[in-house]
Amino acid sequence: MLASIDGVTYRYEGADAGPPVLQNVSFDVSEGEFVAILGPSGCGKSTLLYLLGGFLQPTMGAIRYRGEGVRAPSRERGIVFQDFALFDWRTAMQNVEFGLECLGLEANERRRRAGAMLELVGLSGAADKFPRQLSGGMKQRVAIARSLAAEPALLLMDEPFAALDALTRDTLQDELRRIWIATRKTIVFVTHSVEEAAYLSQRVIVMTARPGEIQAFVDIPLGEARERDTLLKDERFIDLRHRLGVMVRRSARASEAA
Amino acid sequence: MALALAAVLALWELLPGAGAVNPVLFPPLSKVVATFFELMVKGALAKATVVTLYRTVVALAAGFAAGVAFAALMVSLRPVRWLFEPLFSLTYPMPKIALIPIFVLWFGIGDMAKVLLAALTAFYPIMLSTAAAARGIRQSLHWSAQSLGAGRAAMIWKVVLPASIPGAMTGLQVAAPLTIIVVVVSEMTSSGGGLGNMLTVASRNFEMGVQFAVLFTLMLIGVGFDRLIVLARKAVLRWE
Amino acid sequence: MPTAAARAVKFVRDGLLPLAVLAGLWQLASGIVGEETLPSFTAVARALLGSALSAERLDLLEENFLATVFRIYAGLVLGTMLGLAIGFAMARFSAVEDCLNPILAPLYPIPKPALVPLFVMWLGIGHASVVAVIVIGTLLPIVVNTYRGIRAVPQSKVWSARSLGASEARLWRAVLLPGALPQIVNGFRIAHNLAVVIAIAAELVASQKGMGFLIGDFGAAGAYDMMFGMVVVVVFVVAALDRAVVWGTDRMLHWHYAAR
Repeated sequence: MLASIDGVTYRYEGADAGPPVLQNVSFDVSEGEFVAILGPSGCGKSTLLYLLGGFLQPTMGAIRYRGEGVRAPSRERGIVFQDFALFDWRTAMQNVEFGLECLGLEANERRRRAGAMLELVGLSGAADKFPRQLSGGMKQRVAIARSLAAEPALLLMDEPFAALDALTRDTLQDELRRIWIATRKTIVFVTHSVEEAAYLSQRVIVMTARPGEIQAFVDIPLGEARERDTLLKDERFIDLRHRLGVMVRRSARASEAA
Repeated sequence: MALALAAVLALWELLPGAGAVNPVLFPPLSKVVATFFELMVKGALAKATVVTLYRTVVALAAGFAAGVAFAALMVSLRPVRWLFEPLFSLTYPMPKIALIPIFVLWFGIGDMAKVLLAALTAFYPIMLSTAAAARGIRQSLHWSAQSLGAGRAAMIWKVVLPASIPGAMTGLQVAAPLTIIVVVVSEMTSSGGGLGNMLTVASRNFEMGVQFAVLFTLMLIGVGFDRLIVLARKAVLRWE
Repeated sequence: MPTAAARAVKFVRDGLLPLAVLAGLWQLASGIVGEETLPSFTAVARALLGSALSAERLDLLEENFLATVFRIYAGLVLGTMLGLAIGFAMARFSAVEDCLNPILAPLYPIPKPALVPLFVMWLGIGHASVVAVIVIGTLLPIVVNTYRGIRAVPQSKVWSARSLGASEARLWRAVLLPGALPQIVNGFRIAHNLAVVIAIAAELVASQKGMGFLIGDFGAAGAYDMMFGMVVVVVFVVAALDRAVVWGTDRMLHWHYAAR
């Protein structure tokens, strides 16, 4: 077990009334697994990610990483955001080198490793471009390369493809799976898309909103080699997608009624 | 289009010549142009321009350095922000030229008073603009840097500072015309050379041509600085 | 919504207290560098208080205060009206724009206080010359911002109004003016600031009666505590005027948006 969330409740500061953002949430993340957190908006799934990363502290309960309490962000837990969060004043290569600079590596070594990461995400040609010159898909690849360069054990992804158009999203989903198989990082992937959760992960944690609670754990036993066109016609996939969809829509309606 | 301008210039030449406007108070265009070149040749205009430019550039540079440094303090240290925020808010609208008598009392009538006051003038918009940019950095940027292993020093040096530079450049653009005004006005109120001084002397001696020449030069300086800062912005912010 | 009591506490704690601390530091500093260089906070406060209690002084202050304020607002109002008219005309008729641009453009980069000696020469010492320069100084930002504001109104709005049969007057009233208002207000705030600067500069440069003049005058007489006191007064007066303009224009914008 790499990380665990144990009886966590989270409230915004000063918000003592009303349902908490997260209520008594518990689950484990195993090393090397690809787990998705799925739910309607407002269910606290991003908050869960930020707690795992150490950016926020729980109101109640504990977050553990390799058995130790999580108090602050760390290189061990990398994060990728929906808005890419690239440093506009740095080129793609320099963005990827950021974490390596913080490690104190010297220039040649940094360039070598950063170059390798850019190649991993398929962006070797864009190394000297500024974010302004890159498309959304390319920016997100840089962001992923940047996080991976710091060699985290856990990669947290907060709806990373939500701001991209459908075709780019499909491409990057396949890229992500390829990178995961190649690097065997542990990935926790937040999304509101049922199809994305089913396609990418091995296990889906389905959440409800207001308060944010875990509704169900759903395994995705579809093997590692997933080919999109085949999978879309696969009965098991269709069934899983349906089941997850029913759960999410039910919880969305419930939270709207509340 | 240029027709209207040509018409105005023509009137400028003809009316004083015909006596419709007192030529002493409003010399014809030709005389003004002649005076301009005469001054240029004699070097008086160039000399005064250099003095004013020197003071402006030094003031802008000092104001920039102080403004950026203080902005860094304001953003990172709460007590500093608490202590100075009301003061800046209160004194921002005040014309800094009202402080000329105080600065002259402290630093005499030489360069120092003028440059320091002008630097103070530049300081305000640069500091405010830089601080606003620093405070406006997205949460996701902060958190990304932290998850990449950036400590406090690295955060300020590698993230906050570069993210604030566009704000600093914007502040510089706002500061330039204000700084020029303060330099010129302080030159107008005391001796010590410079274009402002040349202006007041000329006005005392009823030398209209000289006044127009100085105003024309000031116009060129104003335009020049603006262009320069825009170019500097492009050079520094290569990523925009 | 924070309660009135909470707001009052915040005002004292984060507004007055820091200033009090700075006043304390001021007192310390004048102890270090000497009263001749930096009159202490208490000395300045005493001088101001003394002025408030002296009828003669009060008259002097009032006379100069009114002089400055009159010039600022006479110039500002005239300049704004002219600026609006010119800005509208330039935005509406490209012929006007082509005509006036070459004449106005060279005026922008000139530091307006530098025009004061010229105008004093033409109009003599007194209000007229300063007001004239303030008019020029204020109409320029108003023209720019009015022009830009009107041009920035999306064409789609103009076209849809026209397609609904709007007359020229109605187009202006219902679409262009409201759309341009925020930008015009911005220009007005800039103009107000500039008017204050020009007024004070004119007083320092041409020894015109006014608040700026008093600062220099007290200094020349060696009454440094009053000189510093006058600066403090100017700080507060200008801050108050600025706040009033911001508040007033905010209300105007608020009402304008609410009415739509």
